[in-house]
Amino acid sequence: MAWITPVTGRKSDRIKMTHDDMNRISGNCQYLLNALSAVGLLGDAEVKTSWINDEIIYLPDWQKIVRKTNSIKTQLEISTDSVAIDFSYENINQIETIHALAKAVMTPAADSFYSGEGYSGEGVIF
Amino acid sequence: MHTIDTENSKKIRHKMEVICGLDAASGVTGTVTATGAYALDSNKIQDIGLIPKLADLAGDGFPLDGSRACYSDSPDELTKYGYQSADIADEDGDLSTPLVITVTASDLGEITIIFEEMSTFGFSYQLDSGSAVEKDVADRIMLDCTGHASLVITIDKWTPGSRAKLARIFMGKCYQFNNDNLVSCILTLRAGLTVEPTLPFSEIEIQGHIMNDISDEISYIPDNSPIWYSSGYPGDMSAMRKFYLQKEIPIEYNDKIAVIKGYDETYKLDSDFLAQYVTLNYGYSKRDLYRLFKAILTAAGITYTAESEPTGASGYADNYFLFKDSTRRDVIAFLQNLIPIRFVDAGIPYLFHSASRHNVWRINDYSKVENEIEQHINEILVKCYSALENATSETIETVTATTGEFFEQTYSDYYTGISVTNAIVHSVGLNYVTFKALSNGDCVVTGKLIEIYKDTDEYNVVDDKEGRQADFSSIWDVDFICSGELSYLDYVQQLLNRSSKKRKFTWKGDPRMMPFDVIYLGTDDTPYTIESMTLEHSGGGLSSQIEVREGVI
Repeated sequence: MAWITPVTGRKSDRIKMTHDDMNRISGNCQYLLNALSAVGLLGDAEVKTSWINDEIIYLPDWQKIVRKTNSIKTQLEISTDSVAIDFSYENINQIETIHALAKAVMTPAADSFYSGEGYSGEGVIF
Repeated sequence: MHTIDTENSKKIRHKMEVICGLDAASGVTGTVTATGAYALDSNKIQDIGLIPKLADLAGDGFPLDGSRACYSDSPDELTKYGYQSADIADEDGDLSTPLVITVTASDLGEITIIFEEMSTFGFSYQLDSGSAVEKDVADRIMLDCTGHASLVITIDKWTPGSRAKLARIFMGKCYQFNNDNLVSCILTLRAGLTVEPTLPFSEIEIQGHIMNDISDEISYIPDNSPIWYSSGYPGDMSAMRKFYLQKEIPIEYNDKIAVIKGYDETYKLDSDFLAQYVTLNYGYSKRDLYRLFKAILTAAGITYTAESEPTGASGYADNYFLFKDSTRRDVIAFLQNLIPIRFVDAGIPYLFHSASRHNVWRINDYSKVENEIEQHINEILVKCYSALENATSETIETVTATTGEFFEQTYSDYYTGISVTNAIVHSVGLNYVTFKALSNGDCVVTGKLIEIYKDTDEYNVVDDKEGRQADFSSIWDVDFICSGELSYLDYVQQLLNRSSKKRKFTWKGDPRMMPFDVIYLGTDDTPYTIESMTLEHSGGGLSSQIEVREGVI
């Protein structure tokens, strides 16, 4: 799962959520889950990562993305508030902010990752 | 660029469309079935209710305004989705499986169908086994189905790339007005921006022509029926504002002109607030008070949208607050002075806490500016109280009862964990209990006393101008206001700096404006906050009178 730079600067409730946004959010969430799973900090988990533009978001799929984002936040001790399931632009900003912070936490150990896979958990600095 | 913005920038703008009216529920309960629908709502049509839209990625997505809900197989509120077609219209607008909705009742009476999204394609409807009738899609369409048992609505074409959406089916009559039959529509929208806020009502008055005599119908229109309003230009209408009919102000109907008046939902706050003993953490005090604020609004029956809650910080201690018996309105007003939480209704109830949620306007062409100065508040006295429950229970009273005897006891003090021996407790609060005795003999009422004592410290925040004192005597606990995340005294200082300068002026008006919005006048860079405004559609035009207070509040 390729990492895509999160979008965190929405400033209006007129901003729309598209299937591209959903693919980025869920893809980044999966990227982080894979990385944390590889080093044994979280168990294997999958969120829905392929969204197309004729879908209505199904509650269990979205709840899982939100729940896993909160798990990532807790596991990496990111000091922000947990996120909720509402589709307000602030909440979506917060979800993507957590993803960005989580990626930043893992960046020092980037050389320990290859194609999103960790080397036996060695050298990962949290 | 919105059409309204484009028109506002003109010296003389085109005439705005106005759509407003009253939904009068008929009391008929029908059943509804649908085919080709993505989310089927209940099989019982609800007479009054808002239907949020789904988080639908079709087309160019959905706005992140907090109004969208996920689809669930077993929704909590069966009516909340309305009807959306399972298919998306192709490039020609065709739905491969049409959305077909069937409504049945022994006598359907009048039915109003409501579309929230428009389409250039029409729809058709069929009564019983009659022939299909073609109709254009519009916000609200009233169908006279009196004497018929079945209505079939068929949508087979819609805007390419999106789903057909029918927001609501309403069993009843919709008195609808637009530029063709409207005499006037006046909205008065208010917020309390003083240091000692109240929550003033906002109201609407619609005058419109109704050619069919409705004199006999008026007395059957239910209390609290929704009155709604929107205006703007085709494709760019303002958000729908909702007000509610009050039985104290019935509809008037004379000479074929109806006068309909209503209030926003803040009237619901004139209800009892029962005492609560709450735990607040220093680090999450804003968040927890925001939650309390939301709980009060919800308990009052107000449907609102809210900004995400404030953040907090861990590592602080708990503290305890006693909110005494009061009214919900008073508690809400108190909380608005305790923390920077803002609740505005004005037909679009919204709760927020950050200044960035203000809409900002820069307007020209205003006139008749009047200045007004209120007496300045130069001193805010904060008296501090602590409230803490005792560690052990004590006997509050002992009553002698006979078997089955019922008691309603109230106390001047407040207790936690009230319980009664030899009795079944029916209801209990901090200062009351109702119970029925199980047998002849004593019933002993016990509880942990919540002790309230005034702290010796008082905070007297003053500035160097003349003015008057505002007395906040209902804040508890010195530590709470001085430490932790709340920074209450900083906020008191902000309150002290709130301007007493107000300005009133007339302007051509914009239906999207809300109390608490920020306005800049002409080239002046001084911000003003809207305290109240009147929007008046009459004589084919829109005008407004706006009252603002200096500064961003």
